[in-house]
Amino acid sequence: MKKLAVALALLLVPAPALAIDFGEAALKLWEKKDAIVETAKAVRKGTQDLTPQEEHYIGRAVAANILARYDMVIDAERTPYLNTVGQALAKASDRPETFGGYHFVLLRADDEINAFAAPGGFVFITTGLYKSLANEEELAAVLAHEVAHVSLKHGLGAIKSANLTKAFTILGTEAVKEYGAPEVAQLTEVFEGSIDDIVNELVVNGYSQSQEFDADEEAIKTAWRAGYDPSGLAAFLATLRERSAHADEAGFFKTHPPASDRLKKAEQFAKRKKLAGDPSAVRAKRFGRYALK
Amino acid sequence: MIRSVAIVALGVVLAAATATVTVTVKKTAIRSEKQFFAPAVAAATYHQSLAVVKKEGDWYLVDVNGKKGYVHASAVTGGEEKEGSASGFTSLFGGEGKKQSKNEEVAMAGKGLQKHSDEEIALAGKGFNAQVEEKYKDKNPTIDFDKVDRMEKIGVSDGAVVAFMKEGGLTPREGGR
Repeated sequence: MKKLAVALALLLVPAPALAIDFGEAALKLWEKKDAIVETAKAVRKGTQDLTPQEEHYIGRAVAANILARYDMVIDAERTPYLNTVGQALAKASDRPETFGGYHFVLLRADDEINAFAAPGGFVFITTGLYKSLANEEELAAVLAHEVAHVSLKHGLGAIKSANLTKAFTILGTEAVKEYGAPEVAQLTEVFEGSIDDIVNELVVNGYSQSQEFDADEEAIKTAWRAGYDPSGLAAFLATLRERSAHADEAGFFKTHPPASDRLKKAEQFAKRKKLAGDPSAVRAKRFGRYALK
Repeated sequence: MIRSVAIVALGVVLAAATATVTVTVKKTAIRSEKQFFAPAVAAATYHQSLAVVKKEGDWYLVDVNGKKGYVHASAVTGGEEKEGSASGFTSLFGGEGKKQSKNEEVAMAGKGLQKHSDEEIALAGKGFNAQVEEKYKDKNPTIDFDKVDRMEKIGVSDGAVVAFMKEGGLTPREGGR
């Protein structure tokens, strides 16, 4: 990186000075610029070094895996509704733009309360969860929570460091845009491993408690910024607490911290940050038009 | 002489490069105001280089073929060191939040390109890309990417979101950070 800085500093000396004093050196460095940038590239180490485009392709594969487990529901009314609420929230989030944008769909699973977010902005909620929502404020809270997982890159964080290291090692030795068959085979293997890491975390193990709490806090802020009553999250968590008290349900209850813990923290956070709002009869009525029976 | 001219030109090109940001999303709007859903004055696509006039909060005022407009920091790289999510809601819907109270003029020359910018530009199209996805599909034929393609086609226009927010009495709140 130091070499790169020196090289660029030299190259960025005002043009006339370059012409007089540094002509030969600058030309040589210019010829070597690809190699210098290549050195910079090789320092990629963690998930934060994945580009938005790489995140997008990872997200697509994770989404494809989720859609292999569930039926996707696209209907003329709820899909646009879900996506309009989702876009209003995404733009109010800490990461309003991703490589391919945010997209929201329902998954057919009436008996399961669950939601997922794949890297890059693919958001899913089950029909079971949708049916358990009381109003638009609660829907906004759930979508904002999933957007927060994307924004905070929790999905990417599930990739085991061994897979990332392998990927960056392969990439660090390859300068061309189109790979040869051996490199593609190696990269695909690492890609597959990375997708498995994320899908396991999302569907089987769940995120850590602290990640869920962080996503709750982000969701409260995001919903509030978008103009919603941020108490929608607490209201929904109260419903979950009731459901979890007398149900042995899979999905959400298995992969998320106890709703009572989340509810307590959510209420404390909103109070501490003075994030409050008013419910809206107009929005409640609107939600009624899109309710699932 | 020819070499000197070439070097001068090179210097000019490189000096200009310090005042650009590069688009890191498939497509983004260059907006008339520093707020989402403001009318678009131009569009920019992945890897497009945008000349920066100045930075205002989480927005860059850029010049695209003579048209000036704003692009959000989360859609570009370069211009400044970027760690984690680029963001800040204070400026998303306009207004003057805490972070916007003082305009930050972007260093126009002499500071060199930033780490993130270098790497992300160098890596454009590499890594986990369409080529890798194709191979992954071959290895996993039961995983259906057509559904993902359908999902990606779901979109809502800015106008529809604005009308929806207005209908629902949703007034964005600023300064929440």
